Amino acid sequence: MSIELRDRFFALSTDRAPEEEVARYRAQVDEVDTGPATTIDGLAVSWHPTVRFKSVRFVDADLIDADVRELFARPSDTAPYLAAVFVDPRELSFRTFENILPLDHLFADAGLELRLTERQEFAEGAYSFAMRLPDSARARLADLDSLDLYVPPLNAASRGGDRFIFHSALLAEALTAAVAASMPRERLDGFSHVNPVFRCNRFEPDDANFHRHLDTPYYDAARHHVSRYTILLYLTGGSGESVLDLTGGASLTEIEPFTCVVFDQRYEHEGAPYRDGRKVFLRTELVFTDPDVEHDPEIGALFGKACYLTGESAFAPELSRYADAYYNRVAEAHWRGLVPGSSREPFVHKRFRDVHFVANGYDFWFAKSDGLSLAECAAITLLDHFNCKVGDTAFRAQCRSEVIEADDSAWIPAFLQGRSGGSAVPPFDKSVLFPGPEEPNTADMPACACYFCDGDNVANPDFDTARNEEVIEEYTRAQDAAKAEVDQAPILMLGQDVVLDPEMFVVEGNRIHVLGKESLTPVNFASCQAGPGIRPAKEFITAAATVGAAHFLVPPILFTESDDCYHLKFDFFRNTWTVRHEQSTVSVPMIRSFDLDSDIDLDHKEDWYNEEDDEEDFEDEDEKVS
Amino acid sequence: MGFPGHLWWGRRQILGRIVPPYGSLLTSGTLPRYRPRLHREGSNWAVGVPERGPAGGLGVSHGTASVPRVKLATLEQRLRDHPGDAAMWLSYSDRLRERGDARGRLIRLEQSRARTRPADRGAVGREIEELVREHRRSWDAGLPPEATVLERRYGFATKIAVEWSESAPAPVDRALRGPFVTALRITSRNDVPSDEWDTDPDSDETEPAPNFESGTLATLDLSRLDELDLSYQRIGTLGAQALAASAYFHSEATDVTAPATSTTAGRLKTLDLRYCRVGDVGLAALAASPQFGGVRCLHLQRNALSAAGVRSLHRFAGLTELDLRYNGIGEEGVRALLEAPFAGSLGRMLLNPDDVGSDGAKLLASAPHIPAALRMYWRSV
Repeated sequence: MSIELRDRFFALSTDRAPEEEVARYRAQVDEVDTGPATTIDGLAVSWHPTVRFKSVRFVDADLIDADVRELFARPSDTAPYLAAVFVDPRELSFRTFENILPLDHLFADAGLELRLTERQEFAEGAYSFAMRLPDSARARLADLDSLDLYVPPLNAASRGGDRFIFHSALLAEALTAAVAASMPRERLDGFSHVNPVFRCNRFEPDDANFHRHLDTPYYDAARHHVSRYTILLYLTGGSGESVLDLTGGASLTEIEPFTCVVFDQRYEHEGAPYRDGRKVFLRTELVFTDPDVEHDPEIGALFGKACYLTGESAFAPELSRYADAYYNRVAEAHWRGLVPGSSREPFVHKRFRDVHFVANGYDFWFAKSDGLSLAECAAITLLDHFNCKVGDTAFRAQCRSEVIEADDSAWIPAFLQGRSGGSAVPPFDKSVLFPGPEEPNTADMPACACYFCDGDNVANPDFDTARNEEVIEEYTRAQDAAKAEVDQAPILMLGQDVVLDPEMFVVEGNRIHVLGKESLTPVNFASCQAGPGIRPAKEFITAAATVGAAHFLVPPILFTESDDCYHLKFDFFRNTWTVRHEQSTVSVPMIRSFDLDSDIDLDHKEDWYNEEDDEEDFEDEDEKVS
Repeated sequence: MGFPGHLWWGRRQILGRIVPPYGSLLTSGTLPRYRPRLHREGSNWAVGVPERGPAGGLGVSHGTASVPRVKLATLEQRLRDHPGDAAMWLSYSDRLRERGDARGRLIRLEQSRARTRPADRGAVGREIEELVREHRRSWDAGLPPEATVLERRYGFATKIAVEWSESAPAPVDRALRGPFVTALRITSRNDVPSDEWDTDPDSDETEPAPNFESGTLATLDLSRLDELDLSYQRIGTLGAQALAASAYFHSEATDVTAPATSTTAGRLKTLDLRYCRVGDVGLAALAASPQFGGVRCLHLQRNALSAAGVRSLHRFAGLTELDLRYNGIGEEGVRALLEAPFAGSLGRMLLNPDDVGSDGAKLLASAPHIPAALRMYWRSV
């Protein structure tokens, strides 16, 4: 059944099956509610669609747990190393919205000697070129379409066609050289490179237009990088009323295969499908270095909201149009400054356990109450923004949400006041996880249980692994390793619960600093008479509990407070910051007791004399001497 | 140097007031060879020596300044009760400096170091080290040679260790006369040789170790202690009963004017009995003793406790930290724990999954009585 579900998904996707058949298939999928097969980078995945795992992604098959890897389909004959996985869209965060496929090795031996010729400036700051490249490279580019790696974009409602995103440094490198050689010199002041992340778009004649929009510029203030031009590589040719329409510039009605178009990103534009054939093109950006690039906090806030609403659209599809509008305003603002948008804006009222809050992706409002600390508000903000996994479920999926459209935010404090509740992320004393070791009363674990090796240790009913020096050493090592993760985590996941370490949230003025881990210190885990063997010391260390540690390397969270409300403002996209978030699972060690029956292996006899061991011992001695 | 009204009280008089149920217990141990001393402070009696040199602290003083000054003994008592009161320590510092005691300077230096910016802390630290190096021997001169200082505050010993033996009570008593010694650790000689282990699997695991003078514990005066650490001393049930008896023993000995105090909680806040093998019966005896009624932090790892032992913990009503690891209390023990009056205020409670079994773990994971963070921890086990 599951295999059929898996295979029919790809059959229906490629064959453009009739609506009725697709509807029947969807109904069938909605009946299946099996759990994930494994996780990849913290994201739960299934090898077939289910009512929960509906969003298809392509990943390097090597990333999948080997035990279940073969269950996952490899739908692309050209790229058989890519496996199709199904994810729960509610688990996606801005880090995982897009499925960027590594396709560099498709071009590894393609001979990408690429040239752009026959330059025409068809509008101010807009150029077309003919792409000249060897047949092998041309074939590889043409093959991109047949990879069948298209996945529905998250803004599918506002655009037509199919799309997938891939990364190829080789293709970008070849294009960088070609652009540098072909564009007018005055247009290349500060040109750095072509962005290696490409979007491969496909439109059939009956698809909807890609509606009028501005491309969101690439922006990396840490490197002073910003994109100024969009570059399109048309892999197929065709004609239409306006296959590329630059508002205020020009409109192209006919495109030859392997045409390259470069245009200023300030152009709002629209693209119609070809009238008589498939339209396939790649899009990326020309990236420039600009040390004077400025950052407008309001643009960052708007971008944050756009990302947030994109994620929330998995729960409330109506939010995608707001997200789309915000992206457009952000793109426009980069060139013309921020202009006022619609007077109505969306807010999401959420309830996480007993805590109600209102968010728009940048602002987070919480009602003040005795049970809710500022640190907890900050923790919830982080959990929501990164859509962290709590237990098996993403944070946002654990919230009860409703969209509220309003003219402004003045209503929020009063709205929340009637809903103030208790605590959902209580403080936690991490030292409970790491009780100190006992004082040792026996030395190393003997190699075996014979009298000469053991004396009267393990045979003694009072022998206690918790007080054995070697076991304590292993315990301490295991604790150190776990502490390295846990001590630096501001938020811990204990099963389905979330707790916070108040000491990792430092309030200073109107800022909440969320302390994070620095670079982790690597911690390495760790002859006789013929008696029965004894398990080595480290086998007495076992897991007492499993704890999830969430680490954030984030800018400070700004806040204001009124008598009844905390208002937190969180902008992750201030690009001078390295935004990083990771979750890890940590086993908290404990020492288990010695069991005379199971911890002495009567079948195992140590050799009385082992020449190899002897040599090693001598070598050790030599090292000590030298 | 004698203090007016200072009085020596003989052993026989003290023993004559032992509460009968515990009298038989003492006969199995060794009687003390020291003499607790009582002195009069105002209209009350107190244990200890009233006037000491710099090594032992300061005697009662009548200040000459125009502002009325509290007696030094009163000040020391307040500092014992509130050791974190920095301002009071500064007052004490002045008294010490008047007497030429370098610890007066040490108090100032250590307090100023905390306020000094990090770049300048090194210089203050060096001055402190120099001062300590120069004077520490004289500061410890009042301590018996059997005592090892484990912790200090402003140069004063606050926690001492004494190796337990038949004759240990005397040096313990002497060490406890230090003005700020409020924590005691009892140690023993190196590990018991293996041929002395009781290897009979049917033997009672709550028997005291053969070389441990458990009965003598009844002679310990715990009245000034905040912390008693008997960790890894196999005192057994008998030793726990002797400790419990000590409360009656000394309350009767010292409290000649207010016998009612034998039922009030002692000042002990921390009791470390890990690996003492006191068993359920021993723990019940301790729990019934008012001396231990104020304990907040209790270490009970590997004490052969069962659910019955956990039930007797109910008498430690103010517990906030409890370590019960390596006691197989099972599901029944968990139920008893959740019914304890302190269950809701436990900030720290350590148990291993093996100690409680899977059903006990489930109970803890769903117990509304315990703090949310503890409940959450057990959900992750």
